[in-house]
This record gives sequence, structure tokens and C-alpha cells, in this order.
Amino acid sequence: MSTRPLIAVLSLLVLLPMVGALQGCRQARGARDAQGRCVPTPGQVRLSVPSLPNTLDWSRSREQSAGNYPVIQAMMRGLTRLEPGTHAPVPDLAERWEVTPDEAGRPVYRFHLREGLRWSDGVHPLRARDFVMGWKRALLGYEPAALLDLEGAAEVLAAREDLDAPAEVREARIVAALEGLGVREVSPRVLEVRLAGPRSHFLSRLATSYVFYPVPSFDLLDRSEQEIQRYFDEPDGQRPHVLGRFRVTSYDRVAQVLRMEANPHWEGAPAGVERLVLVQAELAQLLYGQCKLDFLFLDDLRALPSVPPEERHRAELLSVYWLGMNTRTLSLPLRKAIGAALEPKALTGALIPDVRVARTLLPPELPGGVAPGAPGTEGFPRFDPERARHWVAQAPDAERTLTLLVRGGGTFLPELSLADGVRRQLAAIGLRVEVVATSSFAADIRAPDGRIRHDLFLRRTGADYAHPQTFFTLFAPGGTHFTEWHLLEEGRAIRRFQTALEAIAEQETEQARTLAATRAQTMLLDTHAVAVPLFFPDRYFQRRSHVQGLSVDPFNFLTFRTLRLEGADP
Amino acid sequence: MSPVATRALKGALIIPLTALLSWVLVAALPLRTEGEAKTETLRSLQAQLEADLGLGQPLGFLRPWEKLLAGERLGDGGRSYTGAELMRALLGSLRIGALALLLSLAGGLLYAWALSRTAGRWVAVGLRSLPPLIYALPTFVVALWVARSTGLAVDDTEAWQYEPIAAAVLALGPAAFVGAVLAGALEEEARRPYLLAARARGLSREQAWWRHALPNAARAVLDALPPLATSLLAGSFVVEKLFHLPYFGYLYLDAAQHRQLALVVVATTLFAALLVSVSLGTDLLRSWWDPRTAAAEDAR
Repeated sequence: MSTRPLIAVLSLLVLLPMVGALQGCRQARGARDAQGRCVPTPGQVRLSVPSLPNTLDWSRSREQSAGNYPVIQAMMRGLTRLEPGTHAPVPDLAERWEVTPDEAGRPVYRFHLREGLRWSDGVHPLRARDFVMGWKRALLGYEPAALLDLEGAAEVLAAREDLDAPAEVREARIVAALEGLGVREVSPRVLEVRLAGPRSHFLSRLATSYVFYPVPSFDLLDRSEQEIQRYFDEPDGQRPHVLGRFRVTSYDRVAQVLRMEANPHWEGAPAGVERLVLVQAELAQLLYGQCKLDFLFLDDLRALPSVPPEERHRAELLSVYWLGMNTRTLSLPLRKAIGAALEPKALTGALIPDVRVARTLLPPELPGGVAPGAPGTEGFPRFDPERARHWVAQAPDAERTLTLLVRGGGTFLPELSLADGVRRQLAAIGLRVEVVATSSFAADIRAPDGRIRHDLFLRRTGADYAHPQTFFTLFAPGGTHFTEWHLLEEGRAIRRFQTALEAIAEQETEQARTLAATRAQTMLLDTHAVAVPLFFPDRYFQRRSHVQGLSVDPFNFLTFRTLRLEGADP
Repeated sequence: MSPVATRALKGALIIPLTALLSWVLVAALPLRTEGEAKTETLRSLQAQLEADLGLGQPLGFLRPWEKLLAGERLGDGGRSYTGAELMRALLGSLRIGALALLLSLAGGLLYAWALSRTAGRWVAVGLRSLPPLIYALPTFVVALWVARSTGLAVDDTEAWQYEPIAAAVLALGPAAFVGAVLAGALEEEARRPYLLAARARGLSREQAWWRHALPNAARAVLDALPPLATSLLAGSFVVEKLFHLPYFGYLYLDAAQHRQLALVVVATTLFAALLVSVSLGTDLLRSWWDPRTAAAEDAR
């Protein structure tokens, strides 16, 4: 037997797939023109996202929902939308509304739906009952707290929370409570919404919280709950029906690819974008360099200088990065000392370019926010080492080593480096801090007995809607402030704060709302020194110059509202 | 009962044990509920999540399997998979692993053949220093370097083109290992008298190598096959991540990282079943290839 054929076969076995694959890969590497520039795929935009949706069922969203927003907001719209720049709510699905008080003085909204709006099947019009069904489903979903503004919603939640009741009794109570929910169809195009009390944030919330979006009730009425979940989570190109600019054609969870196409019945201009492909990729930067992506987030800020300026973009977010302090383990003088010892500019200077230093908890551009130095902000934390040392001298607990909990990864901010900066700045006034990194913040911040186990923590809080309430919710009773401040003065402090929040909700004018919101900020930043705002984070992203209008909104979500394609990549 | 059947039975017992142990271990971790939420998780939601995972229920560890059989999604939303999707992911990893195994064996054989044919001292020294050099290179470094040159899959439409490359990267170390083992065994065989006798009967050096030395030396490779196949399957996790081939390894790592209890339990059990099957298959192959030695070892 000659060995040559065998060796040849073995060699071919090793080499052939390699050659074939390399050839395939050469073709698969994105198309480039003669000058080596990326050539766009006509009508298609392919982008990398940090996470894909955990559900496409906007009424039954899960709480880990950051990946849901871009997709759901591309698919759907709310009764209102926010005006760019001012963040004021303006009509969207509703063409107008009236507010009248009921006999108890609670607001009752009547929304008149825009005429001619049809679901993406092109047949069925949007009806008021689509909202009624959607909101009732949402109250039984994973984010029911967002609907607590509605009259009767608290009763539904109370019935849900009554876990000690027998299952049938509990179920009957929930059904009965849902009947009393303050939302009803007056006529096919008129929706009536009764609120539990004055809620000046309600119209803002309608714009961005997708649990308030309608559902295609004509297509869901005869389905069981399990079938409805499949209807949303296993899209087939036609369903789920949408009202937004794009509909989902497929969602391959194994391949981590979500494909969308233009809604043929979208009322706006198609702007050249027929298909959107969203992928979740670890090495997105590499894929972008190979012309396979048109957009990616630039979360490694060290990479910014290497990005061509015409492709580099920055979005200013309505969010704040802050240091939280455990009011149970740290005395007030020590908390005040920490607030005066931190210099955010020095903390972030080398890490984050063009940082917007925060002197207030609310971003100044948020309705209800104020600029630093505005009346009422005099006692807010500001860098003053002398004052910090003065407070340290008065603190009985300044000698012990403090622990600072920080996320070890998975965020777009260099949090570990920031924590180390905090440690160094506090060391300058004689405080010892040990930095503790975690991959599961919410689980690790609490001891098994439920108490907050760390003295300090770093956290970013973003707005969900354009109103002070979205930041203050965190510090209200039941909020995840992780500062134990609800224990201060045996609960009286947080109750006063709750009263202050109700005062904001009752204000009709922007000026009055701002004054009330500043008083609430004072309670957190000065009176009780619960938190120290550090900076207002921005989000950087890279996009091909032919992809225009693709951006990140102030809520840190990718937005396709103004997306359009123009020419080839220059 | 035959020794192979005994081993199959032992392997089959490992599978439910893995299912139970993985459920107990993952269930002991704190349940992720709060996340970035601004308000505390409702008791009813917590209870709903716990019931969904079978926590606190007498036969709770069966809950992931109930869901799987009912066609429900395992895991949390975007990271949730049906049984069919899990199998598709598993098949993707198997394709890469099987191709890598084939490439390892072919590459190792080529290496051993080349070494046996080398007359020059310096060429032999060069060839012998290859395996240690390859061992010293971590797979992820090689994968990253190759991915930079060849590109990587952006989505499912391109994944198949990168599977052979990922398999080749994965096979590099195992091929060096197989080559070194086989070359060592062949050197041993070359000193045995039966080869001289074969040459005396008129066989050429090549014929004696292929017909007598190689089948005997291959036993050493067969012994190394189960751990080799296991390491290839486990190693596919790395190349899947780096070439963006979202198959089983990718999914498994993601599920473990995000504490997806039901998914981790089912995936761990499937992986254990796969390893047991591979090990059993290798045993059968070994019994067929070399029945006398296998029988002697079984008797011991």
C-alpha cells in the first residue's frame, strides 16, 4: 500500500475546510469600495446592542428591561411623546386631551385618539379598548408599580400581594379590583383615565413607559395568557401588530439576532431604512472595523481617541452618578465630611472626557431641575477640604474603615477606577476606605438579615421619564435607595420626604414644581446628607456617517425615531 | 453484565445526579430580582419567580424539566430558550467539537508521520519543539489573533463560515498533544522486534509503519480520547465566545453568569449526558479497535 494517497487525503482533510472557510470569510468581511471605505448595504442598518430584549410583550415586561426599550419603542408609541430639547410631553397617539377634577378633586383625563391610526395589519384601527386591555395586563405583569398612578391600581396590587389568601379568593379579588381600575373606553376614540391623585408626571410617563402602550386587542381577545405571551415573544413577521415605525420579523435567541422591517402602514416617511438588524456581540469594535456593523456603543472610553471624529457622537443623558451613604452606620458629621471631601472633576478628569460635574441630584436640564448655585442649593455638597476636616473632627466614627461597594463590570462607566478615586480623595481627609467590587450589586449590598451591609456605594440612576419624580422614587418609601434613611428619626424623615413629593405632584406650573423639587433635593443632599452627586454621565457611540439620526435618547436608550440613510459612507 | 454495559449504567446514573446537584447549587444562590429597579420587588413577584423555579417545593428540582417538556421557555426572557433552541445550540457546539476532534486526529497523525520520516537532526529538533510551543499559547490568544485576521461572524447567516476556523483554532493544542503521544508511541514500537520481522518478510518501511506500528501505537491515542473529547467540548466555549458563534458554550456561560437557574440545570445535565455518551462511545471504539487489551483491562 502506498502511503502517499493516505497522507494526501489527511492533508486535504485538514486544509480544505480551512481554505473554504477562509474564502467564505474573505467574502463575508463587509464590502469595501476601491478606496477601502465601507459600502453600505442598501436599505439595511445593522447595529450592536449591549443586550437584546428579555421580552417583546410590552405589557408584561420584566424588570431587567434596559434591552427592551429600543426595540419596543421602535415598535410602539404612547399617547404622548416628549418634545426634543424641552422634554415636555406633546400629543402622539392622542391628538388632544382634557383634564377635569372628579368629585374628590382627583384628575380625570379624556384622551382623544388621533384619527386614521391603524395597526400594522393596515386594517384594524387603534381603539380606546386597546389601552384598557394593555394597562390591565400590565398591572398583572412584572412592572406594575409604574401604573400606581391610576385609580384602583393600588387595590389590584394589594390583592396580588395577599399571598396568604387562598388562591381562588385571591384570584377573585384581583379580578374584582381590575374592574374598578380607573381606565375605560368612552367611545372607540376616547379613553378616560382617572388618577389616584394629582400626578404632574403622568403625561411624561405616558411617553416613555411602555407599560402604558396599547395592545392589539382585536388579535388577543380570544387567546389564553400563554398564547398571548407566545404571540409577542415569537414574532412571525406579521405579528405582533405594532403602531411604530418598525415591526419585528424574527428574534433568534440562540443566534442573538433580532431583525426588524419597516412597518408598511407607518404614517411617516420610510427614510430609506427597510431593515434593522440588532445583534449582541462581545467584540463589536472588531466587527465595526470589518464593516459589519453600522453602529456601536463606545463604552470603553480609552478607545475614543482612535475613533474618527465624524463617526464619534456623544449623547447627554438625564441621569446622575452618585455616592450613596448608609445612614445607619455613618454619623451625620461623617456623611457631611464625605460630601465636602469629594471633588468630582478630579475624580473623573482622567477617566471621562468632558465630564459634566454634578452639584445637584437632578440634572439641571430635567424639568424641575436647577443649575448649581440656584437659590435653595447653598447647602448641597461641594468640595471644601477645610470644611471636610472640620466635620471629620466632629464625627465619632471617623476612625473606622469604611467599605465602598461598586460594580466590578457590566456598566458603561469605569466604576472601579471611580471607586479608587473616591478612596484616595477620602484618604486625603484621613478616612480609610476599602473598595469592594461586586458582580451582583442588588444581592451583595444587603446582609442576609436585609440590612445594608456597606457604608458607601456608587450608583448611576437614570430617568425613566422627564420629571423629578423619576429620581425621587428611589428615595421614597419602598424605593431601592440602599441608604437606610427610612430608619432616620424613626421614619419621620422619609415621611416628610413623601409629603414633599406629593407637593411636587400637585404643582401645576413649572416654576412651582422646580421650587418643590429643590426642597426635596435639599432633604437628601443637605439636611440628611444621604447622597453625594458626582457627575451626569454621557453615552458615547460610533456610527457610519451614512446612517443619520440614529442616536441615544436622554433615557440612555437607542432611538430610531429620526433614523434615515443617506448616500454611501464617505 | 458486560464491562461496557456496567460503565454505561454508571454513566447513566451520573446524569440525574448532575441534574439534582446543579439545581441544589444554583438554588442556593440569591435570586436576582431587584436589578436596576427603583422600587423593592413585590412579594407576589418574588413568590411567582420562586414558584417558577420550583424553589421551596418538594420536587422542585423537577420544575425545569416540566417546563422543558411543556415547551415553555427556560430562563428569563431574552436569555430564555425552548428545548428545541437548546438542542440547536448544542448541535452547533457538537459540530465544532466533532470537527475539532477530527482535525486534532488528522493533524496529530500528520505530525507523527512527518517526524517519523524526518532524517535531518535539526528538522527533528524543530518538529519536536512544536508541541511545547503550542501548549504555551493560550487558546483565547490564538483565537483573538485569528479572529482579527479572518474576521468573525456578525450573525447566524455567517456563522457556518467561521465554524471550521474556530474548530481549527480549538484543535491546535489537542493536535499537538495527539501528535506528541503518537510520535512517542511510534518510537517505542519502532524498537520492537516484530517490525524487524515484518521488514524481513519484505514489507517496505512505510508498509510496516502503516500496517503494524501505527495500529499498535494508536492505542495510546485511544486511551487519551475521552479526556481529549471532553476538553474539546469544554474548549469550544472559548472559541464560540471569540468568533461570536452563539452556541451551547456561549449560552451556558451566559446562563451561569446571569444565574438562570432552570437553564443552568438543564444545560449542565445535557452537557453531562453528552460527556457520558462521548466517554461510552470511546470505550466502544476502543473495544472494537483492540478487543484483547480492552478485555484484559476489563478483567483486571
